[in-house]
Amino acid sequence: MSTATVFALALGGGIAAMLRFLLTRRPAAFPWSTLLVNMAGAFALGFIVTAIAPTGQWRALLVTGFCGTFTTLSSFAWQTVVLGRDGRIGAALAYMAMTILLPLTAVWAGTLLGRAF
Amino acid sequence: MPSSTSQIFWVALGGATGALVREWAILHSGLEPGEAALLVNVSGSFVIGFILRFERLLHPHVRDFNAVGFCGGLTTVSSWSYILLRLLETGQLAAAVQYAVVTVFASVVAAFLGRVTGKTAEVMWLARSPEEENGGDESDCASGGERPSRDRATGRRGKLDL
Repeated sequence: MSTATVFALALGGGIAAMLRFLLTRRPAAFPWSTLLVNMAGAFALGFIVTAIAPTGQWRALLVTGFCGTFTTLSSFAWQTVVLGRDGRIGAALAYMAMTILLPLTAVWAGTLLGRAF
Repeated sequence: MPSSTSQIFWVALGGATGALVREWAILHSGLEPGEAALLVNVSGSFVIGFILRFERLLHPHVRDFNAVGFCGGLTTVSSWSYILLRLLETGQLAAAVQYAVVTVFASVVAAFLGRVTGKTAEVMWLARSPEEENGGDESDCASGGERPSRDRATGRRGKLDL
């Protein structure tokens, strides 16, 4: 990785993690905020790779850095374990299904919009 | 819930590090992008399970850096969804379903195993130095006034901490 790529990844990742932290830090009965963050990041990735198709350090900044870091699977995994621990099996399974389907739909919508752009 | 500047700094530093490690794994691990994404997603889920179970013995900044920043940055839903979309668009329905289900189940199992490991580590740590338990809690209360979420004695169970 070139120095510019490393810098772009760190910048995109740093800003994205900060934003995700600010948007998801409020404790809730069901982790809707994490789900929404994952959908928004997937939508943005789909749009960016089709509408802008960045390469090199721009791709590192916007796609792998920002969108990649903004979305998170580890929070999802932890939240699902907590839901299961609390006996909310239905909610845990619904969260798993939604985390597969909703970001996938969002990234698809992002690519559609990006191609129309 | 106000968040301090130092908290945000550690989250950002963790996110930057996570993004770098993820990209390094995708480019240089010798794995296919899909496999590398699975690897970072599962390992990040394990680490978050460990850190969040073990956190009462850690400085709050270690938690912010690791759990929210590093694990959140290392794991990714957007690239994973995009890989799924590409599989679907090229007609590989079975591979897409398999990849989606494996990623979700493996990451939840990894977080659970991380949590079990964190609990074991906590028990071993407390058995090793029993005086840590009281001392640790007191210093947390003194330094953590801006962090109501760390009022774990009553508030930790039953709410999603992220």
